[in-house]
Amino acid sequence: MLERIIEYTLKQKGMVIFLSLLIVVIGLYSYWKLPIDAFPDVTNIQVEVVSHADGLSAIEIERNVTYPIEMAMRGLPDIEQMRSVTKFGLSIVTVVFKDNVDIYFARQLVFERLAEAREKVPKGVEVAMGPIGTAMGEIYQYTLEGNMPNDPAQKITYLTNLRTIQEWIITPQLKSVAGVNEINSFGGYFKQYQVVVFPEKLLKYGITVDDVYSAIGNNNENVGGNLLERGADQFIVRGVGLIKDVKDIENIVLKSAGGTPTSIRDVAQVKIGEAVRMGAAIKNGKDECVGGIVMMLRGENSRDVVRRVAEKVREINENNVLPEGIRIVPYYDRSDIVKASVSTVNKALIEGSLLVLIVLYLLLNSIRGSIVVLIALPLSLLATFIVMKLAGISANLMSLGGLAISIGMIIDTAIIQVENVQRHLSDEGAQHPKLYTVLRAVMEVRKPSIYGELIIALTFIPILSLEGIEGKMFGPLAITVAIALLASLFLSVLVIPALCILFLKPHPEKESYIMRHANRLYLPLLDYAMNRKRVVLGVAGAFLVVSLFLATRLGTEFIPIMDEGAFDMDVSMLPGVSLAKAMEVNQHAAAKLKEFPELETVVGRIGQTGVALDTRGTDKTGYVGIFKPKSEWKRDISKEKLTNEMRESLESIAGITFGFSQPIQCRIDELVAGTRAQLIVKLFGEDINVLSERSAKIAKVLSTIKGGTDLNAEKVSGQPYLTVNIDRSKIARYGLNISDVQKVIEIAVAGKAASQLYEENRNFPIAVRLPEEKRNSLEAIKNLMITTKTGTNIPLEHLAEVKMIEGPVQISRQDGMRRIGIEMNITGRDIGSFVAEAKQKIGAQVKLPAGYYLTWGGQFENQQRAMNKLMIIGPAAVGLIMLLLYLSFRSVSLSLLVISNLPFALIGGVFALYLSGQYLSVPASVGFIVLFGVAVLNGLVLVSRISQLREEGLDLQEAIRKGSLDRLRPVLMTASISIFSLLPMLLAGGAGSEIQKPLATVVVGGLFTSTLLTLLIIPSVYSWFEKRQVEAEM
Amino acid sequence: MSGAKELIREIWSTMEDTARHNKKTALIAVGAIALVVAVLSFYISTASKEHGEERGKEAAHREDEHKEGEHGEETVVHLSKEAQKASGVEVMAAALEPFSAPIEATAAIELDGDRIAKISARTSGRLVRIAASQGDAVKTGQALAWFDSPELGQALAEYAKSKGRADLARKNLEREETLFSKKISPEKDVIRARQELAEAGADLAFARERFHLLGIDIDQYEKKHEGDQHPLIAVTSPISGSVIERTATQGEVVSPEKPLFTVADLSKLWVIIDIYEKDLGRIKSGTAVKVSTTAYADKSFRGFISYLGEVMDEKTRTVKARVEVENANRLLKPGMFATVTIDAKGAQMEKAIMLPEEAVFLDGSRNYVFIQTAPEKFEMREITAGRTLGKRLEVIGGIKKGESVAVKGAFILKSELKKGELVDEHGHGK
Repeated sequence: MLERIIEYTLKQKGMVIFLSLLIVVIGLYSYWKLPIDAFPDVTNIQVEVVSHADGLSAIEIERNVTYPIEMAMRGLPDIEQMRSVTKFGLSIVTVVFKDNVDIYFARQLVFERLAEAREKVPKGVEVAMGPIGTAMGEIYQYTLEGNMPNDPAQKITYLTNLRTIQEWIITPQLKSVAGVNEINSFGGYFKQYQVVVFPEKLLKYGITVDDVYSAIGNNNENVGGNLLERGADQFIVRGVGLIKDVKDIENIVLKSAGGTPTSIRDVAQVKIGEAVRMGAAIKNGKDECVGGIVMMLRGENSRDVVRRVAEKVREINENNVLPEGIRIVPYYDRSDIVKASVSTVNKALIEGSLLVLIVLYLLLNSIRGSIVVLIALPLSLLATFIVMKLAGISANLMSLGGLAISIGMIIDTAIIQVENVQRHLSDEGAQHPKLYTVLRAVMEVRKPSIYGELIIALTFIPILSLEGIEGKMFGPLAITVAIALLASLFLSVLVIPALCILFLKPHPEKESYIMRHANRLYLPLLDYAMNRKRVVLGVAGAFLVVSLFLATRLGTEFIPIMDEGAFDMDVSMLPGVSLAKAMEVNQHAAAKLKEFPELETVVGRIGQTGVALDTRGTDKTGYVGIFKPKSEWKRDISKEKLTNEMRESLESIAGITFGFSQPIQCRIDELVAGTRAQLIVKLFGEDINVLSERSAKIAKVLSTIKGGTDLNAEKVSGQPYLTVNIDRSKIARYGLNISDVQKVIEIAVAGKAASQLYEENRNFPIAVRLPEEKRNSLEAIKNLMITTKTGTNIPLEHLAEVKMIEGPVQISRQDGMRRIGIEMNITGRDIGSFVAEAKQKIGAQVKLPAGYYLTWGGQFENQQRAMNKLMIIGPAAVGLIMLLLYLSFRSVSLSLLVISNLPFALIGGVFALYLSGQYLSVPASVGFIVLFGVAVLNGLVLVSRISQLREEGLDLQEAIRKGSLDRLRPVLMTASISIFSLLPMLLAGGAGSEIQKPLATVVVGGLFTSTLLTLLIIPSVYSWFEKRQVEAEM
Repeated sequence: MSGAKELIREIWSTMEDTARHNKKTALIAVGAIALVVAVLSFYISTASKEHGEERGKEAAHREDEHKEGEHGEETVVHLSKEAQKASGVEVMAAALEPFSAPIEATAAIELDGDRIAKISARTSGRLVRIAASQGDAVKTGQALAWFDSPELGQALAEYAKSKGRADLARKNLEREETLFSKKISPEKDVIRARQELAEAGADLAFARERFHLLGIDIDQYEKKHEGDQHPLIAVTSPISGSVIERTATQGEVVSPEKPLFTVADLSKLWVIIDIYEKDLGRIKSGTAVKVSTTAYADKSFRGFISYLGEVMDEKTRTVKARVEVENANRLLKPGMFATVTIDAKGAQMEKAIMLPEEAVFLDGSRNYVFIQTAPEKFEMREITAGRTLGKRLEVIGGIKKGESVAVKGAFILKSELKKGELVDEHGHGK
C-alpha cells in the first residue's frame, strides 16, 4: 500500500508541490498565531480558602477556623495535598488537587464544602475562596512616577493621592484589558475621611464615641420614595442624604439639649487623611512608591496580554488620563523573558538547522541532495506548527526546545531517502526509468527509516507520563518532538520521494572528502574489531563499568534554574517590627543592592500593601530586581557570582535574613511546594514550642553544610501583642457588656469605618478614631474612657488588664498536622548530595521526640518524584523500542543486538555530564531517553542492511563488511547531524538555555560513543547473534 | 576537562599500539587503563567531597569555640562599630532619674463656695429701683436695688405707736413717782407705771429691731424725714465681687425666698476633680497642681488641693477633690472643663532608673534590655519593669546604675541574636 502511495506521489508531482505550498502557507499562519510563552504553566490545580477573623489570635483561628475548614475539605476526591497557614486574624487553607482535575470543577467542589465549613466557624468569620492563582500570573509590574515633594507631610498627601489614582483610575482601566485577572496595587496610603474625636469634648457634652460612630452611619443614606403622579407627569421620589464632603460630616447632629444642637464639629475634627497602613513600597532604596502588578488569568497567553497591557499603559500615559506630571513606568515585563527565552531556542533552532545543512553538504557532497533536505526541514517544522496550533500547544521554551532537539531526527528519514536515491541513481545511472529507480531506492530504506522514526517518537511517549512540574515542562517537549517526527514521517512518504525525483539527477558518485577519509579509516578498524572481538568488547565493557561508576557519583538535581534576568528576594526581620523600622532597614538594604551597576531597578514591597490574601507582615519584604541586559554589564561576571556578591553586601546589614530567588521560580515554588525557596525541611509535630526549638537546632545543623544559602526558619512565635483582657466581674459592676468595651477599643484605637463617602464612583471609608496621642502608648490605651450606662466614664484600666506579651506569629499545617518549615537555597552544589549529607547530619545531631518527623520538600521532593517516575519510564521506553525492533526484524536476537547498543550510548552521556560538571537532572534523564531512540536507529539501519544482504545470499563476513561500509555514511550522517543540530543548544548562553543544556549534553555525548561503538561492535558481534538465530531456526 | 580528553586520547593510542601486537597484552592494558580511570575519577570526586566535609568540620569547630565563650547560652550579640552606627544602635549609661508620674484628672471649674452671695430682698415688697446689672463690680454693703414694702409702713406705724406709748408710760411713771413721793398714791401704782414703761420700752425696741431687719436706719431716717412718706428699702451686697446673675426686674414683687442677684468673687475659683481609686494614695491636701483648659491650650494655672473628699462616689468609683485656683485676670470661667495635672513628686522625691520604651524588648512574656559589655559586644539581660511614665519605663531590677544600655537599636540587636540562634555568624551557611 505504501508503495502505491509513493508511486502515486511520484507521478503526481504537481499535487505534491501544491501540498507543500499549502503546508508553507498554513504553517506560517499557524506559527504567527501560535500562543507564545516563556515557560509552560506548571502551576498545580489548587483552591485557596481564605478566612478573615478580626481580632482572633493564630491559635484560636487554627482551632476554630482552620481546623473545621480542613475537616470539611477532607475527603474531596482527587486531593493531592492540603496545607494551611494561620496568622493573626487570617487563615488560608490551600487544597491541592491532582493535575487532571479541572480548576473550575475543583473550585465547585470546594465551594460546596464551604457551606458546611461556614456553619462550623465562629460567627463573624468571613470565609471565601481565593482567586485562581497561577505562578505565571505576575506579568507586568509598574510604578507611578511624578514629582515627589520633599516635605514629609506633603509626601504623605502625595502618596495618598498616587494610591487613589492607582486604585480608582488605573486599576479599572487595566482590568478591562482582555486576559487580565486583577491588578494588585501596592505602596502609598489609603485615602480616608477621618473623624478625630476629642475625648474631653465628648465628656463635656456627654456623648460617647459609639454615638458619633452610629450617627455617621445613620446620616448617610439615599432612599427611594417610589413614584409621584402629578397630572400627566410621573416623578421619581428620592430622599437624598448621602454625605458629600467634610462639611456634611461636620454638620451631623449628635444630640440636642435645650434647643442647642451638638454636632460632630463640636466634638471632633473632620479631615481627609490616610488610613493606618500595614505595608509600603520602596523603589531603588530611595523614595516610597506606588505601583501595581498586573495579574494574568490562568491559561492566558502572557505575550499577548503583556502587549495589550503595554498598549493600554501607553494610551493612559499619552492621553492625559492621569493628572499632570504622573506617569506609569513599568519595571518588570514578562514579555522580556518570553522574548529572551524564545529567541534562545529560535537561535538554537536556526543555528542548528544551518549547521545541519553544512554538515549534510559536506557528507553528501551533493548540492541537489542538500536542497531536497533544505526543503524538507522547514516543511517538517511548518507542518509541526500546524499540528501544534490545532492541538493548542503553545510555543514556549520547552516545546520549541523539543523542535530544536528533533531537527536532527526529523531530517533523518529525508537524508536516508535522499542518500539512497542518490546512490541508486548514481549506481544505476540511466539503466532504468528514473521513477522506478527512485521508487525502489525509497522502498529499500522505507522499513528502517519508518521504524526508526517511530521508535524515536515512541520513546517520547513514556515521558508524557511524568507528573507535576516535570510533566508540565517536559510534556510539551515530548509531544512536540513526537508531532515533529510524525510530521516528517508523513512528509517522507508524500513529499520527499517527489522532491527526490524532481531534484536528484544521476551523476557519478563523487565521494566527499570526508567520507573518503572516513571509509579509509573505518575499514582497518572494522577488520580489527571483527578479528579481535574480545579486545573490543573488553574495552567497551571497561568503559561501561567506569561510566556506571561515574553515574553513581553524579550530583542530582531537579531542573536547572533558568535565568529570568530578574531576581526576587525576600528580606525577613523579626515578627512585629514596626513599619517605620522595617522601612528604614529596607531602604538601607535596597540602597546597598542599588550599588551594583548591573541592576536596573529594584522595588521592595514591605508587609501587606493591598492584597488581602497576603500573609506577609511588616517583617517580610519582597523585592523584585531587574538586571540590565547582560550586554550592558561592565564586568564579566556570572549571575551566580553576582548573586553571591549581593548576598555578601547584604550580610553587613544587621538584623535581617534574606533569600534570593527569581520571580517566576519563586512563585512556582510557593504555589507548588508552599515555600519560597528551592528546598524546605518540614518538621511535623504537635507542640509548637517543641517544633520551634527543634527547628532551630535543625537550622543550625543545616548552616554547617556546604552549599546551603539563604537559610530561613519559619518564625512561629515572637509577635508582640498588646492584649486587653477584659475582667468580667469588673465590667459587671458597671453594668457593661464585653462588646461595649470592645467597641471602644475597636473604634478608638483601630479607627473603625463608620460609613462610606462616595466621590463619584470612588468610595472612601469614614473612620472614627481618637487623636494620635490618646491611643499611641500603653498609658493612653489604659486610660481610654469607657462610658457606662449611667453616663459616667471609667478608664479601660479599671475594667481590663492591659499588657504586652509575645505570642504566636503563624501556624502552618500540612495534611492535618502542624509543621514548621526551614527553607534554603542551594548554590554551587547539587541538591541530591546536599540533602543526603543534611539527612545524615541531622539524624546524628538532632533527636526528635516520638510523634515528630521530618520530610524534605521543594525541588528535592519534585526531583525524587521525577526520578522515581523516570525509573519506570526508562525501562518502559527500552521495552517499547524492543517491541518495535522485534516487529521490524521478527527476530529476538537481532533486536537484542540492536538494543545492546544502548549501554554504549550510556557511556558517552554519563561521561559528558560528568566532564561538563552538570548534574543528573530531569532534562538529563529525558536526554538519555532521547539518546536511546537515536542510538537504536543507528543500530537498526546497520543491522537491517546486513540482514538484507544476508537474505540476498551474501556470505556472512562479506555481508557484514559490505553492510557496514554501505551504512557508514548514513550512520555517520545521522549521528553527526544530530550532534551538530544540538551543538548550538549545548553552547547557548541565553535565557532558558540552562534547562536544555543537560539534555543536549547527554545526547551529544551519548551519540558520540554510541556511533563509534555501533560501527565497530555491532558488525563484530553480528555473527554471534545470527549464528544463534540460525541455530534456533534449525 | 582537558586532562580527561588527553586520557581518552591516550587510551586510544595505547589500544591501537597494543592491538597491533597481541590480544592478551591489549586486554591487560585496557583493563589496567580502565582501572586507572576508575580510581582517578573516584579520587577526584571523593577529594572534592572530603574538602567540603573538612570545611564543614572547621565551621563546627569554630562554632564550638563560639559557644564556649558564651557558656552555652545565646545571650550575647557581636556587632561591629560600623554596623552599630549603620543600624542606629545607641548606648547610654543607666542613671537614676527623679521619678515623677503626674496624675491627670478631668475636672470641672466651679465658683468658690466661700466667695459667693445670693442676694434677695429682706422682705416682700415691690422693686422700685435697680442700681446694678450683670457684670457690675460691687463692694460690700453697696445697694443694688431699692424696693417699697408695705411691711415698712406697718413697722413705721407700730414704731410710732410704741414710741407714743413709751412716752406716755414715761410720763405716767414720772407723775406716779411725784405722787408717791408726796405720799398721795400707793407705791403699787409706781410699780405698775414702771412696769408699763418697761413694756412700752420693749415694744419700742422691738419696733426698732424690725427696721434693722428691713435694713433701715430709723434714727437717720427720722432725722431726715420728719414723718413724711415712708422710705425705700435697699438690697445690698454682703461681699465684694461682681454681679454674675440678676433676676430682678423693675416693679417686680419680691420676697425673701427669691434671689434677685448673685454676686461672686471670681478672683479665686474651685476646680473639682475626680480622683480614681488607684491614685488616691499619691494625693493629699496641699499638693500643688496645674490646671489646663482647652480654651487656653498654651496656658496653665497653678493651684493646690484644698480639700480631699471623705466619701467615694459609688457610681463613678471616684473621690472628689477640690483645688483652689487663682483667677486674678478672670480667664477661667466657672463651668469650663479642665484637665488637672497633679505633680505627685512634690511629696517625696522618688528616684528610679528610667529607660525609653524602645530600649526594652519582649521575649516571650519577659522584658529584656541589651547591656554593652564591650565596645562590640552586647549582652541580653532580663529586667523587671515598673511603672510607665509616658514613653519611659521604670526599671526596678536587672540593671545597675552606670551600666551601658542600648537605648536605641535594641530591635536590631534582638534580630541579630535570633539570627545567631539559627545560623552561626561565622558559618558559611548563610
